[in-house]
Amino acid sequence: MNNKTDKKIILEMRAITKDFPGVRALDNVNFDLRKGEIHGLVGENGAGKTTLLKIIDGALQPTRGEVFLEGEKVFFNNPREAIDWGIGTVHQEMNIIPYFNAIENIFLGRELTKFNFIKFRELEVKTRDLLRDVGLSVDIDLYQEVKYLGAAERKIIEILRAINLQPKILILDEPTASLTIEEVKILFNLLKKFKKKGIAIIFVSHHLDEVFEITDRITVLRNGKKVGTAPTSSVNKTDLIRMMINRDIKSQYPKQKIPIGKPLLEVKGLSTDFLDDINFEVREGEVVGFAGMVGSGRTELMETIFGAKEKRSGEIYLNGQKVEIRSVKEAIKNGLYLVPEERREKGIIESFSVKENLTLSHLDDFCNFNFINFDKEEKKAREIVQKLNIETPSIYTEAKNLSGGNKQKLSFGKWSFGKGKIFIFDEPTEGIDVGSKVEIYKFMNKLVKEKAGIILVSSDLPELIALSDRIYIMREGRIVDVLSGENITQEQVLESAFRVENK
Amino acid sequence: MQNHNKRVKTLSLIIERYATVFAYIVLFIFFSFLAPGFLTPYNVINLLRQISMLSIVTCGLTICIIAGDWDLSVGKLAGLAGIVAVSLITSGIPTYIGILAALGTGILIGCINGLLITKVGIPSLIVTLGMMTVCSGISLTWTKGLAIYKTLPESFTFWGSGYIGPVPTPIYIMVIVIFLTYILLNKTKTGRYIYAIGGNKTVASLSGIDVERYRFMGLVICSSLAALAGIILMGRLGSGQPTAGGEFLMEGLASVFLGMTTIKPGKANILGTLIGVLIMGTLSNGLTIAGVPHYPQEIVKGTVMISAVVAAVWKAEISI
Ligand SMILES: Nc1ncnc2c1ncn2[C@@H]1O[C@H](COP(=O)(O)OP(=O)(O)OP(=O)(O)O)[C@@H](O)[C@H]1O
Ligand SMILES: [Mg+2]
Repeated sequence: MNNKTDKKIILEMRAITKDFPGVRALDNVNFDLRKGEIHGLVGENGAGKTTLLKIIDGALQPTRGEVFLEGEKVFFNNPREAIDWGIGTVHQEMNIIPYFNAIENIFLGRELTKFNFIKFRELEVKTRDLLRDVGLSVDIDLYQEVKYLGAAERKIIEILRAINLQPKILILDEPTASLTIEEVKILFNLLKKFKKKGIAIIFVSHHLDEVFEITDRITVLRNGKKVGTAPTSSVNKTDLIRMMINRDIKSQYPKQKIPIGKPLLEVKGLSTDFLDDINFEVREGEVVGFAGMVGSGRTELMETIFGAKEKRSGEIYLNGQKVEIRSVKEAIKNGLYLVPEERREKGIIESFSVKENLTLSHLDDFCNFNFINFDKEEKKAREIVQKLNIETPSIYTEAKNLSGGNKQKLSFGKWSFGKGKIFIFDEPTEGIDVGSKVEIYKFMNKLVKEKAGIILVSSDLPELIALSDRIYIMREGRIVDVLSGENITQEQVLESAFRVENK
Repeated sequence: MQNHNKRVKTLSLIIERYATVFAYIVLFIFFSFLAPGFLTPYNVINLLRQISMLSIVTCGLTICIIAGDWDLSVGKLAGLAGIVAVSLITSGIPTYIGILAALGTGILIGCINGLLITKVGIPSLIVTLGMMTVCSGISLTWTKGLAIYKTLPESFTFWGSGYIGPVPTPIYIMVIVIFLTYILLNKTKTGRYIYAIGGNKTVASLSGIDVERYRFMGLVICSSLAALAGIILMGRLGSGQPTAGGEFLMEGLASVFLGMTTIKPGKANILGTLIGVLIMGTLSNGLTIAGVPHYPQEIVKGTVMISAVVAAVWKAEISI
C-alpha cells in the first residue's frame, strides 16, 4: 500500500439503485474499490450484496446510477462484456456445468483450439500448472464429471476458472461458504498473492473472522442501503455486527445443556460402497457433531441413514427398535429429517414459491383426500417465514428470486415443523448471516429441549464445537475418532480429521 | 423488511403474462373480419368440436411435460387405439368392449413407456420415440395399411359425431377432461408433486416424494387420454384410418409450449395449454374457411410452434 498506483481507484459506483418486482434491492448505493485492496462486503441475508456484485459483473443492469472503471463510465449489457474488460467472478450459487469435467469447466469459453479442435493435452498441462501456481494440494480428479465432486471441490474449480481469466477485478461472493479451514487458508494465501500483483478483490462472507483476517476495508449494506465503508483496522466485530443488523448479539453460540435421555438412533456396522463399518448413536437432548474433510463421507452417511442411498450392510435402531429404512418417505414417517447440503441441488425447488417449498415435505398434513387445503398451507408458510425471518416480498414469490441466505432458510424451514425426532443438519447455516444463525441455533436448542436428537454436520468448526455435545471425526468413509467434553479445540478436530494414514 | 408490502405491478409484467392471450384475441378478431363464416354459432361449435380431441391429448401431454417427461407416442397411439376399437367393433364385438379394449391399449402402452422410463431408466424422449413408431407399425400391419370402411354402429360414432342436446358429445368429454386435469394439477397433492418432480427430481426425492411412481402415473394418464382422443377421432371419421392421429403430437407440443408463455410463464400449465390449443385450432379452422389449402397451413402451424418455443425460452429463461 505504499506505492502510489496501489491507491488508485479502479471501480467507482455512484448512486446505484436496483429494483426488482416488489423489492428495491439497492437504494442509492455508492461504492469504490482500489487497486490492490481486498474489500469486504457484508450485510444480512437479502441486504443486496449479490445484487451489487452482479451489477459490477454485468449479470444485472442498474435501474439508476453509474459505474466507472478506471475513471471511464461503463455499461455492461451482459457478463461477457465484463469478462472482456477484466472482471472475474465466483458466484455465490454454483455456476458450473455438471456434466463437464474440471478442465472443461475451468477453460469454458476460453478453450485452446486448433481449427476448432480442442487441444485437451495442452489444457490438462495448463490446468496442472494452474493448480501448482495456486499451491493446491487437493487431489481433484480432472477428468471426472464435476457433478460427482463435492461442493468444496466444485467451488475450487469455480475459483480457478475466475483466476484463470487473469482479471483486474476479482469478485468472490461467499467463496468460503462450503470450504473447510484448510481450503480457506489456501484461498487466502492466493488472495494475498493477487493483492500484491495489484488486483482488486471484493470478498463477501458471513464469517466475520474471515473478513477481519483478509480485508483492507469493509463496506456494510443493510436493507439495500449503504451503512458505511471503513478501514478494517478501525472497526471491531461488535461494531460491525451492529452496523449490519442494527442490534447487538449477546452470545454468538447460545448453547444450552440439556439432560441427555435414552438413545434415539443407533447405527451399527453400517457400510456402503464407500462407508466402512460406521457405529454411533444419538440420544435425546443431544447434539452430535460430525467433522471431516471434503470427501470424508459425512454427507453420504447422512443420506444413507435417511434412506436416500442404499446401504450394503449394517443395522439402524430407532428408539431401541430395529428398522429398515428403504426410502425417504419411510425415514420421514419414522421422524427422521434431513436438511441436506447444497440447497439448490438438494434443498429447494427454485421454480416453486416460498410457500410451496416450505410445505413440500409435509404436504400430507395440509391435505384432505389428496386435496390441498390452501388456507392451512398459507397460514403455515406465513408462520415459518416470520419465525425464521425469511426476507421475501411474499409467500408466493418464486424461490429463485430470494437471496442465497434466504434460500438456505427455506431449505431449513421446510423441515422445521412436523413430527421430527431426529434431525440431521448438513451444513445448515451455510450462507446465513450472523443474526439469523443465532436464530437457527436457538431453534436447535428448542428441538433438543423437546427431547429431539440432532446430528450436525458442519465445516464451520467454531459452530460445530460450540454446539456439539460430542464430535465424531470421519476420514475416508470411516469414523476415526470421537471427541467429547467441554474443551474440544479446533486444533484437536483438525489434527484428527487431517491426520495422514501411514500404515 | 420494509419492502414487503410494496407490490410493484408494472404494465410490462401484465403484458408479459398475458401477451399470448392477447395474441389469441387478435387472431380471433382477425379471422372474424377476414373469413366470412368464421364468427357464426355453427362454426364456433364446429371449432370447439375440432379442438376437443387435441385438448384431450394435450391435457395428458401437459402432465408429462410438467413432470419433465416427453411423450412422443401420443399421436400414433391415438391412431392405434382408434383402429383397435373400429376393427373389433366392425367384427361384431359389442361397442363397449371395443372401447374398453382401445382404452386398455392406451393404458398398456403407457405402462410399457412408464416401466422403461422409470424402472429401466431410459430417457423418455427415446422410449416414446420408439413407441411412436411401434404404434404406427401395429396400426399399419393390422389393417395392411388400408382404411376400414365398414358401417360402424351409432353407439360408437356417438362419441365422435353425436350430440347431447344441441352440443356435440366430444365437447362434453373435453370439458370433463380439462376440468379434471385442472383440478389434479392445481388443487391436489398429486399435482403439486408432479410439478415438484419437474422442478428438481433430487429435491423432490429428498422431500419424500416417490418420484418414479408419479412419473409413471403421468405417462399412463397421458397414454390413456391419447387413446380416448383416438376413439373420438375414429367415431367422428366413421371409419378406421390407420394413419390418423399423427398430427396430435406436433400440434399438442406446440400448444403446451404456447401455454408455457402465459398464465404461469415458464411453467407448463393447463390454462396456458388451453390457450395454445385454441390458437392451433383457430388457425386450422380460420385458415380453412379463408380458403388456405391444407399444405400451406402446415407451414403456418410449424412456424407458430417454433415461435412459441422461442417466446417461452426468451421470456422465461426455460430450457427445453
Ligand atoms: N431476480 C430477482 N428478482 C426479484 N428479487 C430479487 C432478485 N434477486 C434478488 N432479489 C431480492 O433482492 C434483495 C437483495 O438480494 P441479494 O441477493 O443481493 O442479497 P444478499 O445480500 O446477497 O444476501 P445473501 O447474504 O443471502 O446472499 C433480496 O430481497 C432478494 O429477494
Ligand atoms: Mg448473496
